[in-house]
Amino acid sequence: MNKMITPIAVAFLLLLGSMMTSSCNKDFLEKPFSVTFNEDSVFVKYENTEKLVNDMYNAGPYYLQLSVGVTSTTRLGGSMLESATDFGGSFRANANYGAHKFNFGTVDAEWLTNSKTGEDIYANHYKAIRKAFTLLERIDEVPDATPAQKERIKAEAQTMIALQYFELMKRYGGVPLVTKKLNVQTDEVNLPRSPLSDIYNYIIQMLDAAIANPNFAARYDGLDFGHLNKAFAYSLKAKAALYVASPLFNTATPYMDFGGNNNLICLMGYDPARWETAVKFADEAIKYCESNSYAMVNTSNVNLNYTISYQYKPNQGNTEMIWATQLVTNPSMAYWIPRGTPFSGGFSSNLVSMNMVERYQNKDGSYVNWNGVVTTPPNDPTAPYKNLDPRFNQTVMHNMQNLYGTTQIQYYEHENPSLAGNNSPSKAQTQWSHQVRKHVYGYEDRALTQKTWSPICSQMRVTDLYMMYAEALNETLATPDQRIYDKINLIRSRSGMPNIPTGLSKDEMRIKIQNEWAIEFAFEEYRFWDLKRWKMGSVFKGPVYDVAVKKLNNNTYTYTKYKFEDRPFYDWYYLHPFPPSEVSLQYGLVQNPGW
Amino acid sequence: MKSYIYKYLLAFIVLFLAGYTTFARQQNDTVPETDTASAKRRALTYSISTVTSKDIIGNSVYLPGNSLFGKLPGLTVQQRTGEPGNDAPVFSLRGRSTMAASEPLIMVDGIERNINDVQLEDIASITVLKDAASAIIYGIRAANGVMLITTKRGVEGKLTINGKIEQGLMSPTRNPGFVSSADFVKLYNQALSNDGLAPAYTPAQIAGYENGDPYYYPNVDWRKEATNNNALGTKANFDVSGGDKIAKYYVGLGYFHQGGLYKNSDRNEGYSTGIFLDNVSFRSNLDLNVNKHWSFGLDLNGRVYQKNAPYTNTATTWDMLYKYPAHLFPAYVQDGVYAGTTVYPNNPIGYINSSGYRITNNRVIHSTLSTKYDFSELIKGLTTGLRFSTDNFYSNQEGYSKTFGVRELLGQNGSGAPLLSSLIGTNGNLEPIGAGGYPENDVQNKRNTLEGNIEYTPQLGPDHSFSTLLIYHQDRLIIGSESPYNYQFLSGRMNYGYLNRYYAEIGASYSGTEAFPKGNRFGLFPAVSAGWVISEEGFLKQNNYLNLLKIRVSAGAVGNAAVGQRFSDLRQYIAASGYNFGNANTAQAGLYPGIAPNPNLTWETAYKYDAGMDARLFNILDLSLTVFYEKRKNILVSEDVLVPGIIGQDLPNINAGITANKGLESSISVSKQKKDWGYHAGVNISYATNKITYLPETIQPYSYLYQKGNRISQPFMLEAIGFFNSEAEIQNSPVQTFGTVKPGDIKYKDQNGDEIIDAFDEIPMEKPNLPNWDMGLDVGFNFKGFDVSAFFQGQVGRSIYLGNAPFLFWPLNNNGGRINTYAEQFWTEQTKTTADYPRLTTLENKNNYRESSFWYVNGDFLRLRSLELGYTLPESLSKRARLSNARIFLRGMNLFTFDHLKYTDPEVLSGYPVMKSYNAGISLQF
Repeated sequence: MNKMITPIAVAFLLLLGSMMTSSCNKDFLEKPFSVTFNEDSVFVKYENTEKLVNDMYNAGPYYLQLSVGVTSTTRLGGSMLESATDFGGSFRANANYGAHKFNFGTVDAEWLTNSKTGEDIYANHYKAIRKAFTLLERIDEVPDATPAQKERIKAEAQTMIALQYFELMKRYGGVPLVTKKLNVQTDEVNLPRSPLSDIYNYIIQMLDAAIANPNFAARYDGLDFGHLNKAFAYSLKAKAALYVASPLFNTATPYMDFGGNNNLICLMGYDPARWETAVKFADEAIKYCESNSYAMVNTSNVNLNYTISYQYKPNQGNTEMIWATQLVTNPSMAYWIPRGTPFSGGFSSNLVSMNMVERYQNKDGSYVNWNGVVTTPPNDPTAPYKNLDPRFNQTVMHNMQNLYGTTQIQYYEHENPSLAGNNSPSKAQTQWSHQVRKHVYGYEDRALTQKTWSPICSQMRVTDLYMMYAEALNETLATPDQRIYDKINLIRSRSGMPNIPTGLSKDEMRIKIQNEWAIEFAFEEYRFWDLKRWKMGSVFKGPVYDVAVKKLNNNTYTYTKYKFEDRPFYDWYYLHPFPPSEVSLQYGLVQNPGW
Repeated sequence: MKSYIYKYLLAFIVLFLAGYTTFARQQNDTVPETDTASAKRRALTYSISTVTSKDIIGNSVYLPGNSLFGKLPGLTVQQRTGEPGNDAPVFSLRGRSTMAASEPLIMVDGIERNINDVQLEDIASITVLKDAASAIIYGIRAANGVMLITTKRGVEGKLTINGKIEQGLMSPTRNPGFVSSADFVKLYNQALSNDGLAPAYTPAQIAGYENGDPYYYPNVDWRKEATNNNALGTKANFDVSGGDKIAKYYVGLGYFHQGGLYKNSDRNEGYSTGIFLDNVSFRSNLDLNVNKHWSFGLDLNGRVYQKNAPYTNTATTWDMLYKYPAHLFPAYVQDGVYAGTTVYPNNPIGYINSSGYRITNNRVIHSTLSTKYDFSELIKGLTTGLRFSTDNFYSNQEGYSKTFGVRELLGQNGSGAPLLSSLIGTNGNLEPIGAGGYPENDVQNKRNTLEGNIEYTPQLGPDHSFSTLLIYHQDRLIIGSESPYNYQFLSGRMNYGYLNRYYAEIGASYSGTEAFPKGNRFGLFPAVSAGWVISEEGFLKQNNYLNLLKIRVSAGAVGNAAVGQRFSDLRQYIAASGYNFGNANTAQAGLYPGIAPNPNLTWETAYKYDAGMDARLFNILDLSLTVFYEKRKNILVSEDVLVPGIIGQDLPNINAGITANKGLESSISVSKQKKDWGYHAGVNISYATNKITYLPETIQPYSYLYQKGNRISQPFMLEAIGFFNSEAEIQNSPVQTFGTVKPGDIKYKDQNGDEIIDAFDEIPMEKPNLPNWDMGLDVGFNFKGFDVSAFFQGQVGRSIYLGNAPFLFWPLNNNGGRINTYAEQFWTEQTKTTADYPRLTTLENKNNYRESSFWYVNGDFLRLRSLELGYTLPESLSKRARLSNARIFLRGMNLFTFDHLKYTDPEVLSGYPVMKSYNAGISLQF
């Protein structure tokens, strides 16, 4: 019997022994091969690198991704920044629309700059900056990219960094200046805020580097449309210069005293040369654009030129678009169709105030008098609107406006509500009598137009440069000269509007320029920032007016302007707060005054 | 990679064949049986608790976990739903010490397996290993404790056949109630009046509801319309066991059927929309002795499970049963046509019975081949073992989905006939679920393990005992296409005893997993323990009353590798949506830099300290008391809140969290059995409480906002201090910032005195859902053939948040839903002094319907888990039928619950209800 045991026992022990020793063989725990990328494997192929570039663009800015259905996750809960200015308001019955917080004076800092439904997510700018620096620092390693491809990506990354710092600067003033890809383990990450001037200088430095790059093209078209380009780099220089020349920053006494930190929120002194720099940069940008086949849209159709300029793509005849963002393939138009419209959708939360409507001139340069009750002749319900600036019809939806075919929008209430056939939407559904039409103009009925709405979000166009040039030049001169009139009149005439009166003083011209900014760039989120940089905070206070429309039994309509509300504006609203959760880390991030 | 498996398998087969030939020649050898069980028990220096088959078999449940409520001191078992097949409970051993997964490791016959795949009747014992010393073998996986399940095996002796069949009648423990239509419309008008709005129901309509008219003024109880009060269940088991010197076997077969509550489930031709499950389990545990040194084991366990259910989601279905209004429309507008409106298009009856069905199929096969060799002839006391197992789990869902339409009852036409709307929704055709002909949720898991051990227990004379064990174990689990989950350990323990009184043990485990960065995958975990059997000391040895008195202490460090992340050291770039370029707005793919790499990812380490005492008195009374303290470090937590946003990147979680956990377990039991009568009674009580010692938290303006210092999952809430009784009171109180406040709304305490009620006033109040105290109480006696026993389980020190079931507890929330009968009186101007519920409102009310102490209820409960009455036939009778034992029994499960909620089940507030059941059965033994 022992004969049998011994070999089996030995076999057993050998087997056990080999098993035990294999415990030292740690291969058992190796993760098998899988197709995943880490940073090193990304920069092995140009194809992957391009995907990083695409991802970098995700940062926006983008203001058209509105959706009431998901107010809990959309920026400002589905309203535009104009709703937080004298020009608009958010549909009031839904308390989720973020702009209400401005209107009621209940803005809380964490919501505003660190939540999906706020205006901004502070840290997201630094995410985009980090992506751009990652590309800048590692693009040279990509073996299968040509030098031209590498250089172009570098220039795009530099322009993106400048753009993000500009977006930070206009919101927060001086911010921590990160100038490389930070390493959490080895780098100092507790960076305090840099002075405003440093941020501005860094923006110009980055843009100058991009501009000096011969592989950075003036424009990218076709499938490349949407990439940052050199014309935009020039333009952003002008815009950054304009912002730092404007009263909010170009001063020794900031909007609130910040003691030893004043240099974070102003430039510590007024310097008229900043306006001259803004003129110079705008002029350079205009010249560069005009010599690179950019031109203001100026077809013979004065009723459409405006729409072409912000809504059309270059291949559709938009020659003036310098850069636009387009985050979503086909945003849900239902959320952009104004309320009370007779077709599907109609969830837009953006309302237009009378303060805005009253800015529009008639085609002869006169103004409609909205004070007192405006009564229309019988069967002419749109009488007060009829001769307005063609840009009005393209921007605002109003009562009995002809949308397409014979379909008219109805924003009235009957004198006698029990009258049969009253199918106008109740006031509860529309709240105000004017709604934003601008971004869906021409698309109101998809069934009819058969067009897919894939809007672009205009960020910079030639007329923007003209306006910057005119505004800055006016500030450098004792009396406005012809160069200013030329630029303003050019913009007006392509939309069928007469020239502005001649012989204006500097102050009168400033008002004309501000008006033109307001109308030409309405509902593109200019107003909110412009009022602030002009230091015109009191304008936010309103009062904000709407108009009540009534259909009388004799088929005439009355338009009665009424005060909707007064709004608060506190001095500390001039700049955004940093997220309190970020400030509370106590690494040197000083909260803006008042917050 | 896989070749090692085949290598060992091949070696196994060779050994097996070699053994077989030897076996044929030597089957007359005798194997002496050594019984060291009691000695081993005394030598135990750990904290463990054990139940054996007889302790848990008296439960009419399907999943073994549901037999463990209150049975094992230290093990908290929590019910989550009553849905057939999905009602597996959640286990926590000694409370919880981590924010990550805290379930104990479950080993079935030495292999990690799902407890739900084992049949209750096949279980011989369940042991929980609570301290570091008992669980040290499992090293990196032992921190949350270990549950060892051992299945039955054959013993040498005569063949035994057991058969058991039982039939059960189940019904919900509680059915939440709602006010009638007549009361609803009155209360709804009251709600509108509270909002300053005109009443919606005219006196004529209210009168209509009061008089009742099943068609135009219906009062539909959707739960009663859609579900039955009772469901049936059947359980049948059969097993054969026995053995001789060569072969021992245990073979079991079980069938289980559980019916569901849904009515009308056979309305559709060709399929059922009922909820029911059928399960067949089988087990075959074989032991073969080749010779007196060498044996083989082959264990097979299989399960075929099929569950039928409506296509729609069960939780949503029950939400609908509780939120669909009773007064708006009848169940049907005409024969076979569901009633509904555009707002209420999912008529619950249609939702259950006209949405198609789904069948869930689970198939499980467990197989283990093992061999043992006793080297006693070469070295006395040396044995070795090898074990290889391969398990497979497959699950899919098949069936069809379907849409259905409803019609709204608009009124009556001139001649009095009902006026119906056109169809809302569509009556669709059956659409197969799953895509491209493949079933849905197709899941396949495979697990292979390999284990070898060497045990050495030399005989060192009467004064010394010594045993040592060395185990190597490897385990690979493959879930679908995921990267495999691997574990490896080499562990050992050494126990020395002197004079049968003094015992000391050391143990260690070198164990690792693939989850962590290379070079940092293995940890060495040590434990020490000691015991002193005082009753063996000379001065106590002679007494008759103290049969056993032992004290034991242990300390050790063990790990928890289930931190919730793997491979965090590899920075992953994730495919992202990219960006849209071009005139056509074309989407172009992106790569998103995911979370930054964490090269330091590691396991949680638990430092456990434990001391206990066991005693037995007068040969009938057993006592045990254990106290423990645990410090858990390296808990994976987010540090994002502490790092500036300018990093521009999502940061990985880091191993920084620290908790402390402490508590005790005690048990006392008596039992006595005489010829004609006997009794037993036992109670066990366990307590555990934890505290967060460190957690990265953002700097808070008020110290009470920190989670640190509180229990894990401690709720934070506003403190409700009654209702506002007047406008003036609102004006004179701090501003509540959650929405418009009116008299009758909940008033909150301003904790920080800033005159504003907001998130900064949310303080830690009430308790987590996990109880501090858990107890089980067991009593029983028998007389002649009769036996009676009862088992109570209680949990104390937990809170129930009613907001988790808003349809039940938040009437008219967002102008929907029903009004419960839980509220006795809603606040109105007239009832302000006696109201127990805030004013009703038809508008959104974020002031009232938010987490506050108002919506918390004491969650303590004591439940009669089982009550059983049995009668065993006298031997004289059963012998005549050639039976060795025959017993009939009546058993009730979950018959009573004493608690504070009363309105609905205190463990499962809403969803498919928890069941109580009445069961009758017969068991026979041949």
